[in-house]
Amino acid sequence: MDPQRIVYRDFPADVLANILMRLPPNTRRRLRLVCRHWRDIVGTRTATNLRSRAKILVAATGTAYVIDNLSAPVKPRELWAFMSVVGTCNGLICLCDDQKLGGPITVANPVTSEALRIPPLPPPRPGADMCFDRSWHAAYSFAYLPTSGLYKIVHVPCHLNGSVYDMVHVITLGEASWRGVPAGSGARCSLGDNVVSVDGVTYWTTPETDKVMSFDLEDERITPIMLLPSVVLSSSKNGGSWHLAEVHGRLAIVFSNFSPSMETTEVWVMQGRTAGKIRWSRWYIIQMRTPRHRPREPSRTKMRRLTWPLLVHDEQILTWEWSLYERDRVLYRHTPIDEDTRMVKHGMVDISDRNRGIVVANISMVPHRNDRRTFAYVETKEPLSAYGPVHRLVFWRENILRRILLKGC
Amino acid sequence: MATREAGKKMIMLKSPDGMEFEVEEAVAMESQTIRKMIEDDCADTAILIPNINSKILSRVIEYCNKHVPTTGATGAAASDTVAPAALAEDLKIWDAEFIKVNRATRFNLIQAASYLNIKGLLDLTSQTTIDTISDNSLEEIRSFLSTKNDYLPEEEQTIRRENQWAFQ
Repeated sequence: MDPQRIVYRDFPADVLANILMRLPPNTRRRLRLVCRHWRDIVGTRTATNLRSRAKILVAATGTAYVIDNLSAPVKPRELWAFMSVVGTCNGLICLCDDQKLGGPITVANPVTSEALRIPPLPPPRPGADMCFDRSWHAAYSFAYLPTSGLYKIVHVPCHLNGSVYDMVHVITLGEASWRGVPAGSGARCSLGDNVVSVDGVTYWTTPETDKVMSFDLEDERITPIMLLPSVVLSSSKNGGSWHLAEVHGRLAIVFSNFSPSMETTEVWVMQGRTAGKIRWSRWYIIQMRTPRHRPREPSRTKMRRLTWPLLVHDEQILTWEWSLYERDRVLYRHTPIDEDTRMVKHGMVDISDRNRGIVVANISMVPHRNDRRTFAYVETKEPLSAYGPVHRLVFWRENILRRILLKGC
Repeated sequence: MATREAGKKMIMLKSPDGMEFEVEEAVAMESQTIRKMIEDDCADTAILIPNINSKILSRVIEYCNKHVPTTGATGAAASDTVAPAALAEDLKIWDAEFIKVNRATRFNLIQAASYLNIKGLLDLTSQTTIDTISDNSLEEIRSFLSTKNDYLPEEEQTIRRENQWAFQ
């Protein structure tokens, strides 16, 4: 017998705990996957916080806010985000410069002010026109791989402002260049609310077919998901529309059906992917009564929409309310009511003039832009210097102001 | 010049395989466990160190010899004329050489350092293991530790989800 094989069995728990304590919390959390023994030691002996401390990051064109607590709202803290937010993982924010096509990607941690520039994406195959509408970031996704602890950025195949990307491009944080994985024209993404990364897999939808594509970030393979909820498969007949989202760390399909008086949204959540079998389960139904139209006072006609891609936080459904001529967008939360478990697993929400939800925050944004997205966000000291040379990026508005004032003195 | 003084108190350490090591008290007291025994007067003749074989114990003593504070140091390692920074640098290089051992020896050293409560040695051996753990995949860690993934698929899924939910 190999004398080395017997060694680990005798490793006392406190010695192992001592070793694990020296690792950053994120790594410790990931290492719970090694085996049960490690999970127990991390859970009981290393004072690792395993509960969600997630806050909400609201991103819009040129700005971003952090909402610390849903149920005890204070004024959201504003981040100096001169770039569009692609996504967040473990306290890192992936940002995209939307000013020009092909604008670079930066990954940053607002807590440590560390920022890491990502090498540029290979240029696209040129198409007919080169007009540009600042939706460049929508083809990217930022993902954390739960088993290896690596971070990857994905750019999905798409047709963007006249440029064509036929491949999935992927880069691991710390690498010098992007890899291309051929995808075929049928795998092109319909951009806008449609790229989501969950549990080491990036998903997107294709415009021509009712199809969800998946890109496994561990083995970097593309697979279509054929099995979708029946309501989605028949959406071309019943006139509804759908998009992808993330709910409680799982992939979700958000399907909406409109009638003159009401918009009904069903949230279907994917379950059991590891076993090879995909099952979809209806977790929420959200009914939004169409507001009364006031032709004489257009500013009082309130519109309502679910947030994206984070639409459930702390078991609360989040919605935006706004009117056409106002800068303020109001973020509401709604507690799902557990009415009929046969129909829906987690509950129903009914939104109307009388039942408007609870206000979480008032956020002022540039009118006429529909680009506001919500992300789960935690404040950590997750380091970036391990992946390459970092520069400083000051995020908080007050810090920038202070710096300007100091310079002025 | 630090030379061995005639009146220096010596301690006898015994490994379970019967080997005996005579070391200076100051060197032995690098171990908080032994220090406590000496201070509690439980160490008049020889101290039996259970679970640590002579091969590992001799390496531990080698480490303590090197790391014992300069005033009580023996041998050619320390000199009053050497600046502290240079000494620390010298120790670092020595440590790096010292830890170039196979995995089994390193694990044994961790256990010994933990039992004998020698902070410096525990830091050194743990850090090397941490570097291995941080840079490898779960599968590599498991094979490195000769352990198996004993999760049911659902349990594993739950943890994966907890991880991304807690910190995404």
